[in-house]
Amino acid sequence: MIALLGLVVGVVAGLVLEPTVPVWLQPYLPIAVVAALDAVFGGLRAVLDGIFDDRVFTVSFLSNIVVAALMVYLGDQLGVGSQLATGVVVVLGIRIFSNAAAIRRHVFKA
Amino acid sequence: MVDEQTHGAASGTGRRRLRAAMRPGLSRGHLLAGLLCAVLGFALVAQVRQTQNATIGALRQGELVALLQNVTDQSARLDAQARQLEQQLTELQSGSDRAVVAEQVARERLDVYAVLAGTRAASGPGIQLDITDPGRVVSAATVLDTVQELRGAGAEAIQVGGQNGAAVRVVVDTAFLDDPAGRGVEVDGRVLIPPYRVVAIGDAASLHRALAIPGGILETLQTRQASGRVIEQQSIMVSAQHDPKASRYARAAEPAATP
Repeated sequence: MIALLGLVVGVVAGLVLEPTVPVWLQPYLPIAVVAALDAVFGGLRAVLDGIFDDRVFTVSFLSNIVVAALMVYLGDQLGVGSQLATGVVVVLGIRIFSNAAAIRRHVFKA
Repeated sequence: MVDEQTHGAASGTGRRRLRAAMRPGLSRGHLLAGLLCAVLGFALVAQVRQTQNATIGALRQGELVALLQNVTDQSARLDAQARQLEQQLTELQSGSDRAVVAEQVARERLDVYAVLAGTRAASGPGIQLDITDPGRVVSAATVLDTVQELRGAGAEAIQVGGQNGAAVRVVVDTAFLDDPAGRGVEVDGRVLIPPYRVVAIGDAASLHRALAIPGGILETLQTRQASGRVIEQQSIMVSAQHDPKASRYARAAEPAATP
């Protein structure tokens, strides 16, 4: 409940404040957002599985973001930034899909 | 398949758990999760906005390089075009300048030729030679000698006149004949009756000297019972004009191409 509320508050705050992304953050933010989404879906699945733990959620959320950003940074340094970013997005996308599938089974029993 | 079975069994409790999670319950962990979700929402919106009004700041290095290349190419193209147009402009301007200069040169040349051909009155420094010939001893040959002497001394325009102001411009094809009736000298078909007045434009001192040299015209005239008198003038007018006949045969040829 609080998580959902927080999400809404964040979106509204973003719409109201109209933030501009700082230049140094621009390469990492999209990947970080996708990674965070993955963590959120994972958390939602854990809730439905009855194994949700605040600590696990927080740690996985933050570590997802950090690792994703780190990979993009590493890719940029190695000159394969766009390819590695694509790879990260693909992997996270697969995870999100599988989590979404698990959530679907819980909710729709199918 | 086994997974499917277990999930199917657990699905009944899944919704209950979801509903349970929707109940507001305050704990530090929940608050932290909510905060993280808020951050996520904020970042999501920021990123979406950033993508929607994507400026070049959001582009990757490769794209920027390509963009820069495009702009550079375009700039080079426009530069080349500008240079070409400037060159054309310069050519056109110098072309019109050349036309003006050519016209001016042509006009000046026309003036020179008009004086040379005797189709226009000429003025300038020169001399006036008055020849009195009471005994009708001055022949056409003497007049011709006078003209030749003046030409040799650099006279640029000459006219020979007789009584009553009759005058003939001396040009390249002027002919001097003794009048058969003995009245005087026939110049270009006009009979001139003494006293004669020859007007020549040129360096007055040179012309005077040419006529006054020992054995020259003035001395010749004196030996023949005639007399000549030279007056140098700062400005004198050769007003008689020659009426050129159009040539029947000769035509101006195109300037031959220089090899």
